[in-house]
Amino acid sequence: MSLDFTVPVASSEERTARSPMERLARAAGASFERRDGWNVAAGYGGDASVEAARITDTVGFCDRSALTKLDIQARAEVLADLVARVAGGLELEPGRASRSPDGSTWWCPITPTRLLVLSEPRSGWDVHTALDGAASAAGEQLVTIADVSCGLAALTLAGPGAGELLSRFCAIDVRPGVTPVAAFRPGSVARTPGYVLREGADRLLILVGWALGAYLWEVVADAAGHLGGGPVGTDALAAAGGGLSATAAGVAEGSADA
Amino acid sequence: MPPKPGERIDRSTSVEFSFDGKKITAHEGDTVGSALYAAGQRTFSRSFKYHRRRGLMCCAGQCPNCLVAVDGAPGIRACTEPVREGARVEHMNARPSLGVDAMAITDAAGPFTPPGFYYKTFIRPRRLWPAYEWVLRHAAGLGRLPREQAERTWRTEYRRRHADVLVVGGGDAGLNAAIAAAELGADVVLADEGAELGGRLLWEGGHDHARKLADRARAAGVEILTSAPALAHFDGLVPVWQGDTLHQIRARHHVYATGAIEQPLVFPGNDLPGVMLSGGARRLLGRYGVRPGNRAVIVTASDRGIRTAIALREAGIEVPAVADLRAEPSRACSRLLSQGVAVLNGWTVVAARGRREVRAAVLAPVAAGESHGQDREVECDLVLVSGGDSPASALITQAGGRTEYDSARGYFRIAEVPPNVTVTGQVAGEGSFQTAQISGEHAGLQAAHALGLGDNRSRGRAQELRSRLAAADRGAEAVPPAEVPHAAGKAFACLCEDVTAKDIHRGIREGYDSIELCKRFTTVTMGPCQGRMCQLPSVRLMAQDTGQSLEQVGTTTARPPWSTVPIGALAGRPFEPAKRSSIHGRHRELGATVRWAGDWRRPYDYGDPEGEALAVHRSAGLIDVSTLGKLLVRGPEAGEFLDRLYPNRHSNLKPGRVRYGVLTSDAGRIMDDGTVTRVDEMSFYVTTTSSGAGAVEQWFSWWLADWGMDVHLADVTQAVSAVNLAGPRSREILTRLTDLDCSPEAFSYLDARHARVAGVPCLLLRIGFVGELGYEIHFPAAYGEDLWDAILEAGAGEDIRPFGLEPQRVLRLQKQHIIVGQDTDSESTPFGAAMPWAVKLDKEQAFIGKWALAHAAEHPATTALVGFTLDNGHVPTEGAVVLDTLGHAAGQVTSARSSRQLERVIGMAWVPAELAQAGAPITILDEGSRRSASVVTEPFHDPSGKLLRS
Amino acid sequence: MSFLLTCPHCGVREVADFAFGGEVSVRPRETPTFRELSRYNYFRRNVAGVQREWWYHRSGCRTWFQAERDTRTNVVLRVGLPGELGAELGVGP
Repeated sequence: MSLDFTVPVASSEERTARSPMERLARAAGASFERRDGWNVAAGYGGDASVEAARITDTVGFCDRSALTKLDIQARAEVLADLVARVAGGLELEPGRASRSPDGSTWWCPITPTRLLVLSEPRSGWDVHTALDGAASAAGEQLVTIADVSCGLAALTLAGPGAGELLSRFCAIDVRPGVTPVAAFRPGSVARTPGYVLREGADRLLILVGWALGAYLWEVVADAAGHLGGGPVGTDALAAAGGGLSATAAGVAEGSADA
Repeated sequence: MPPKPGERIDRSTSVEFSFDGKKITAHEGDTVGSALYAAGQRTFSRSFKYHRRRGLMCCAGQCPNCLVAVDGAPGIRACTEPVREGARVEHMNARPSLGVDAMAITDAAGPFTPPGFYYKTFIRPRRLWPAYEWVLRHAAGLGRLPREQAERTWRTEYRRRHADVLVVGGGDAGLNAAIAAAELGADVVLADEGAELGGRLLWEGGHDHARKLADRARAAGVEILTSAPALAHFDGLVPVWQGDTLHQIRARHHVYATGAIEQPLVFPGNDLPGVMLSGGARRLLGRYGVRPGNRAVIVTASDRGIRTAIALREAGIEVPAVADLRAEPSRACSRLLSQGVAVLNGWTVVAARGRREVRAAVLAPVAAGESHGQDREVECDLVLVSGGDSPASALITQAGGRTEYDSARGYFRIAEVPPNVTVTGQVAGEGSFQTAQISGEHAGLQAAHALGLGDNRSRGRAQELRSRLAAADRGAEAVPPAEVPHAAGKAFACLCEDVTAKDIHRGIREGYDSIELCKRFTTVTMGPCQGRMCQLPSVRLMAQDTGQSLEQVGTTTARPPWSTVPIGALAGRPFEPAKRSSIHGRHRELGATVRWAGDWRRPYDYGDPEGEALAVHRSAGLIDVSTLGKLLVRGPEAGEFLDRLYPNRHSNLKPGRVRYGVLTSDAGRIMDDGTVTRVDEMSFYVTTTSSGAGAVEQWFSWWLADWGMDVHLADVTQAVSAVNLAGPRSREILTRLTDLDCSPEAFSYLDARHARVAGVPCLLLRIGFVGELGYEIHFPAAYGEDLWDAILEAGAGEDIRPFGLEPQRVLRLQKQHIIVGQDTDSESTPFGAAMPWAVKLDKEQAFIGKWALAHAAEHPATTALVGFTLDNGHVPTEGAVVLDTLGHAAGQVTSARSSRQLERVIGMAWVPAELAQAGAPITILDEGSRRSASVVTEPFHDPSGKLLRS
Repeated sequence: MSFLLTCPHCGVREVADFAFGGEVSVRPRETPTFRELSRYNYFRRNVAGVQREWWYHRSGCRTWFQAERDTRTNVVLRVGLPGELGAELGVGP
């Protein structure tokens, strides 16, 4: 593939993919583990109950930059066909994301001709392969799959204060009535281009440019501190449930082309 | 005073603070103002210009009279600032003390310091301005900021709040509106500037009612913000300042229940301590249990003053006389009359007498004009005035509302509001206890209905409220107060800026006879009260003076902020959206000097720019170029698309090859430059300058939207990191890290290759970035640190060095590579910038810039960009002037550096076209001295490009 | 300026989310005279009233679209992707 140089899959175990927030997370006390080629902030200090309490009582934020992110472009009907082949018949409606049936992948339409796919790194590679297969099946139709895993830094805001936390640096209206679960909102986040996805009642996933990842952490950590919240590791987030499941590929059964 | 129901203070708790070093004891719930007043303080500040004594006047945070400094922060209104244990309160604008103020001399000099005095007097002689300025700077302003700000322990929080309905004002009407809208299911926010909801209800006997309403509002789910003034209405965005939080409220519908502001009267001595608005006295009495005085003369234009007289008498305060500007007694008056109080209908106040405080009021019939025969002097220690109520319409006019003069009521009423705004309560002329409530509920229903909420029942209810409003008796209206008496002494129209009635007359005589001009000349309405106390009086004065109607005079625009707000509240979060490369942390550890480059933080050097540049020539260097803009352009028409955008051709580029390209606008001017790589038949990879990345992406997608071609664009600027490995030893270093055949035959100049470097998937471009053999390596950003480390490690034996932006500039200048925006400006074409080879006018496409460039090709520019060299070691300033043969300025130096490698000074400059030849002598005028230089038209370093191709 | 603008894809956003692309003008189809070229490059109609203009949702979906905005009040009457708004507003120099 000629666009391999955008895909964060190293052939050497010596090379580790790192989030732009890694140093800030480390300074905040994170302990790291290598998972699926990424250095991941699994937890902060020994007492996991502190992180769990943030998610249940105030607000926690968790670095999700390791998510696989694919930017897919094609004509609307080609795009719909592509998604149908890979993930089954999901609704593609601007402003609303769909989770694949196995819960591993979010399909987020940015425009009728552009789609952002988010998946855990473990299942991301399978989704990518399946999409490549489906794209070649599209024949003459132009399909572009750009791996922007390293183009977008990501944080999950989790807890009852997630909406309040976001309102400290983002003008997008995320009141539940306006932005229900699965709503997807491209727009300015912390004065920079970004996306907001409501993953669950108390859970917002925000994405901004990779080079602004450290800046986003600074902004969110500062605002979360005012609200009594703080960072949480991916383990605490997974334990709380409600996010993407990392266990299975985001590929629907019977998608033969993959 | 004995305890009263509804008071705010808690008499069982005491709080101690200091005022100018004196200990003051107050009750919990007191304000600094009420506590000081209770302790006998009557002078609270010295005025802006004449340093006159000023005392409490409105007790509602509206006038400028009680501005003090609290714990070093100036400009705090004592009358609304809650007392805090241990707070350090100090007076402002008086030296040495409030009691003795040296600058009060300006009061006596009054006739010699009219408005405009400052501009007219201190302008000549010009050379004395620095001395004038020093004196004036010390005389001007009110408070003093500490010279050095202590580390801030607080800062502003910003909070975006989206809502269905925002209600501004939490009095009777506002509360009822909020409740009605919320009970129909609207998401409502209510903001009030007071510490407690209820507005006028609180000091006019309705405190229990206010509490009940507030409870109902809370139960209905209204988010209530108290001590939270709304600052402005910007296209539907209302900033509300509360403590240390700025709520930026974006509501779909706005209900303004902002009430009215009691107006002062203009008469000589109207600023003496002891002259107070009637509402001020009632607040002191009702809220804080403070006796405002012992003997009060009341002057009023409406029943508000009459009700005040009754309340004062109930509290045991003597009321020797009430002057009512209205000719006929109202119903409320008769109650007073029956108590034996002297009510003088058709009378007003013509002067207040006293030195430090008021000791008498002079009353006279309104109609008496110049004859003073009937004047009556009444001894008193309090003069309470009530010059009518002016609707607080500033935010409503900012929202697009319009006001017009209502001659029956004597004020500017709201005549028109935009569709998503409702006004209610006193600001809408529904100020009586009966109508405020009805009008409030109606406004709430209306707001909810406008949002599609409600049902037939609620619509029926709205109908019923409308008819009740139409039938309501609104009681006696205020009358416009009489003309300003022409007596001796200063009659202030504007307390903030010390503008007297005479000043306004004088301004008009000098020709500033429109209200907007008068405002700018006299600065009336421009002080801390923002026109609350002076807008209507100054309009009245102007009408009186010019013979116009008030409608004709009109009002000035009330600009934001409507309420006082610290500058710090508007400063924004203390974080700058800084882009950082994925290798940023490592650069810092390597000792990089980091500077801003566009919106990126970049290593400028690693401490030794000269040594870093030399390493590139002698062995190898590594630079982070992740900031380059990077675009994928993909599709069957991608080549054609690029051919239309660039003046040169890219559709014939072979996969695996790289070509330089310059982008021009349709005016033929250089916009950006970079490389175009064909990575496969369908896909091009375009790099742009670091600062041009965003603009190029916008430019490409704009034309794509217009042309509708079968092309996809993807901006991978941040997804892909890039480093440039350069120098004679770079091939050996690279070979150690990859299986790719890097021999000059297999991977030659301007080739592109896919390969793994140190296990990381990469795109390698062999380009001449810094003039030596070099490879630009593009790879997924997540591996930034790991790949950087791997390359430095592999090159350790060759003494590879990281190099920063500054050595890169020297290296690129040696090759005469231009920097767009540094060596070119908005007038530069590729022809002028010595790049005619980048333009293919014979291309079939009408590419962007073709027509202008065809014209430019036939009409050569008068200047051209060339290299130059200087022998004597002087490095000219960038921007130094290049002279033509006649000694006239004809161009400028755009880049200049001293090169260790070449051991001479080199640069780029725009020179007269006739001098753009190798060896031509040019003269550079640099900060007054002339320097001789000679033109060099080919690269200073490796002119044949042998090294690049090696 | 803090009015709202509706992106055809993303919906309502603060105007700061968008980049302004100027009034819609038409690029000459044939080689223009120098005078026509200068007009196209440097002259704008600059109406006080409703004009059609380009906007780019820079912070969001990165789509260029057109809006009809009253330059006196900032009221946006219509938005649409290129070609969607028809030709009723006079465009071009």
